Amino acid sequence: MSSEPHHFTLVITGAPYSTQAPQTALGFARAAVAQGHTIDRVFLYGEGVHLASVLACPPSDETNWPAAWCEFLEAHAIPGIACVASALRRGLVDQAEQDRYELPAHNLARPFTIAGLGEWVESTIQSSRIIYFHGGD
Amino acid sequence: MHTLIVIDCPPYGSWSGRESLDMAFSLAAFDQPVSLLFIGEGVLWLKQGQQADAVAQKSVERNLKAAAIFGIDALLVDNAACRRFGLNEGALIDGTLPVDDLRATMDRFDHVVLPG
Amino acid sequence: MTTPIRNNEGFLEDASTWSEDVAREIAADDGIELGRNHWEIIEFLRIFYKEHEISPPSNRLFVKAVKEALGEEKGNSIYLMQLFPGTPAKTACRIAGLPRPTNCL
Repeated sequence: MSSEPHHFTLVITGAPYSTQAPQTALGFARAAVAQGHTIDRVFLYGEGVHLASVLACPPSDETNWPAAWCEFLEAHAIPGIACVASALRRGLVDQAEQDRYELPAHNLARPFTIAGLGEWVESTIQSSRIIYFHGGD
Repeated sequence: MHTLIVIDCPPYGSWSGRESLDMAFSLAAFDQPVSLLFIGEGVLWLKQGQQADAVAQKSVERNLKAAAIFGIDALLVDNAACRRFGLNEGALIDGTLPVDDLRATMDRFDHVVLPG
Repeated sequence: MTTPIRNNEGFLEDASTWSEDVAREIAADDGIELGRNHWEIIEFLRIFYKEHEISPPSNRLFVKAVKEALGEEKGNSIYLMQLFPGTPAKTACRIAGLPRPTNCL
């Protein structure tokens, strides 16, 4: 390796199947890990929270990006976090938020968890680089 | 470490700017120095006299007036974009700081974020 | 007085059903008897919400906003914690009839 390993945080703000952000981010994450860098956490924000839905059912000849991301996070023990305010607005909840808001279901895919922007603030202090993956238009 | 959050989308018709503002508020909540920079269509955030209730939305003008209270350092705005949208200084909400050189402005910050 | 509908955390379902009597009732559920110091903060929060169309999005920002408006003596977490036990921003918003915070921070 030619340079010091980085500690990355990846922030994904584009949704799967409406933008390429989750796919591009996964490509980056795989390459970073393969080269010995560390990914501190993956933070889903805004439209990006749709990546944590366990209910996505793309056709069988297309990549299931939520499933691919979950597999990657689990394989490398990387925390995946969906911002609570973004998630609640868009109907993405775990058991705790289902109970709190008395909703009929929950749909957060493991190993993602729901937390606040404080996690991102911590990243801005701890990680050596934060990379943003937008929907872009 | 001083963070600059850049907003380049219009206040209504897109949600992502509001979520960028939340990022700025959260840095301020943890006493991390943060400023906002409005460029492109984003400069419309700073126009005085918004009537957001007419489109059943909250007024970003009113939201932004809480920025100083929460400890956001500065509301910076791209002068050239203001001219393009016909906003002279009197049309902008109080406390806005127009800047001419975007590159030099961004260079002053340790972390520049375009979230949306 | 008919009791307005509240959600499972005690927040009003419809903000327009708020009144001073309703505030007293919500406070009583938290074991709080509203005095002059409580009302000062409740009034501040309601004016803040009207002016900015948001309530302070976190407890820290709540403390900051109170400090800005009423000075250091009242804008500190110990003072606010004594008035509004638990998470002061949440307890105070509930009594003031403002929306439930999303726990964002």
